[in-house]
Amino acid sequence: MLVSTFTLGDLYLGINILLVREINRSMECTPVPGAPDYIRGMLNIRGRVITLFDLKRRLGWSDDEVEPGGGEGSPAKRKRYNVIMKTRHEVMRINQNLAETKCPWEDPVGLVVDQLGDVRDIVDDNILPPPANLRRISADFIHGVVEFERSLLVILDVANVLGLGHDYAE
Amino acid sequence: MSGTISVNRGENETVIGIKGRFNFEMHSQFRTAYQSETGSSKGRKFVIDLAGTEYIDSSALGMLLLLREEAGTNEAEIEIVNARPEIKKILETANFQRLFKIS
Amino acid sequence: MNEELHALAGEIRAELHREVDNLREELLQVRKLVQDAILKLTESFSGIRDQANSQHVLVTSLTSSMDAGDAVDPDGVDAEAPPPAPAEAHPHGGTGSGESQGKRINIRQFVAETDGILRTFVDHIILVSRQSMEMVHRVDDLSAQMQEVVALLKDVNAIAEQTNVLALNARIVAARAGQAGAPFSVVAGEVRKLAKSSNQFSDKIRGVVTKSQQDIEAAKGIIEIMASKDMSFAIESKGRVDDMMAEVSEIDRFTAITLTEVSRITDALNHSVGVAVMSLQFEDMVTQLTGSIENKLAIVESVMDGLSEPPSIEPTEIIPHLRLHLEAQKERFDEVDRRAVRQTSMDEGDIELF
Repeated sequence: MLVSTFTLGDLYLGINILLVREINRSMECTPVPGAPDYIRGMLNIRGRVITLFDLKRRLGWSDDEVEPGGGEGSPAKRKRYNVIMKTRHEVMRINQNLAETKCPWEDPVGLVVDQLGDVRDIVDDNILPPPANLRRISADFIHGVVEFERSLLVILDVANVLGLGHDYAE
Repeated sequence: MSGTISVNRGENETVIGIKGRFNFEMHSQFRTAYQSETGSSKGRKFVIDLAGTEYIDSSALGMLLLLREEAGTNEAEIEIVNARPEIKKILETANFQRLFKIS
Repeated sequence: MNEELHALAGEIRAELHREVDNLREELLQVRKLVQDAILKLTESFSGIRDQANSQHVLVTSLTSSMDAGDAVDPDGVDAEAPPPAPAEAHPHGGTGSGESQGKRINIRQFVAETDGILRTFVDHIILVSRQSMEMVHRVDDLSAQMQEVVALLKDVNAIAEQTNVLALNARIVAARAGQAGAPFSVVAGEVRKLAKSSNQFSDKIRGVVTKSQQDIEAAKGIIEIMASKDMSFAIESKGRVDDMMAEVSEIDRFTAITLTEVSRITDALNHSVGVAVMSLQFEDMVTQLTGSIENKLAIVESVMDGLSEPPSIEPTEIIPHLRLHLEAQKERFDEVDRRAVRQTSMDEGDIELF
């Protein structure tokens, strides 16, 4: 399985690349009034309106962790990236099984992350269940972890991150 | 602690006033004060007003000499005015009255 | 009776002759004593005058050695003045004393040269400052150019970052193609590596530039030390040199006054000695006076001899004979007196000083 990786604070995260549509530099988006705080806003890319999730807030991080350095670098200046997800419809055209099991969302969504990583090829047998001592991310959001020499790659369960896991499973 | 520079650009002359200590730390300000002029205006008159100058060292003398050279003007067109007695004495010891009009 | 009178007269004459001879003897002694005294006094006065002259010469040479080559000595004794014999004090230091004689230290020259050195020194400091400030200008320009390099590196980084995002998106697209997209994915991976090395490269450049900026700042610090000299030392030194100049002039003035005074005193002394020496020439008068006394003594003797003429003359003849004799002797006295009077007044102008 190919995994697109990125960082969120000191977390090393990965998403199945087949679920990713594209990656962009973070840009100004339109806030959604009344939405939960982890909804950063709406973004228009080439005519498609995308709902942006602030992944840090979604993981329940504090304000300090969301904006490390205490506002010293303005959000506009801080480099962030948007990981835009494929829709269920798009995934379906590539991998029907994947779409049915892992991709319940019908509308275009994106996740805001800190730094971009590489693309890693993960052997499925190396994917382990999340360890009990893992902090800063709920086990619900984790598909599995892969150990590397120095770090632990956390593969996200995007459906759960987007809050669609249970609805979809039932 | 260093001084401050004020620049007053008239039609034909530029008055550069130096307050406080005229020393090495002033070099950037002093250079900016006259450099913006020298390109455009040949034969422009410079007046260095030392009324508020409390101290002057050799680097300031060097800066004045450079102004004279880089501004490309002769002694009649650079005037040093209002220097207090001890500073005037330094200028005279440096023989500046040969190069500048001191009044 | 007559013969008896003759005998008595003869005795008186003999006695008088002896007394006159004694007088002559004493006169001779007086003349000798006066002569000796005058000789010694004259020698003493000559000595005084010589010593006064030597003193004058010494004082003149002393002041002229302090001020050699500058002022011509008014009495012209400078050239003949004996050196103050430093060679005796340093019998083995021949070269040193020779030099000091050949080139005497002149305070005025020394102060003037100090003034010149000070001026050169000040000029030099200002020249160094001027060049330092020019160097600072160049260094500032260099620093500004370095900042431009840093700005350009930001653009390079931005391009590398865009390339990175592009490569990542390319791999996402390639992944959708499955196995067929694998080679494309490899290319995209290489492009991403290039972007990464470009970033490392610009990081290195930024590191070098940062180091250069630090070096430039350090260089500016050094230049600042070179350029910034407090000028008050020059003012103080100049003031001291001016003071010294004034002092030297005062010493010169005082020396001139002293020298004039010494000359005046020496002249006065010479004059006094001259007057004294001249006054001592009364020896001639003493000689003449004693001569005159001798002459008178001779007349007295001849008067006495006349009084005791042989008794060939008639007694009646004696009175007129004696009167005649007395008259003759009176005339001889007068003659002697006239000659003596001419010598009693001394004319200063005629005195030859020796």
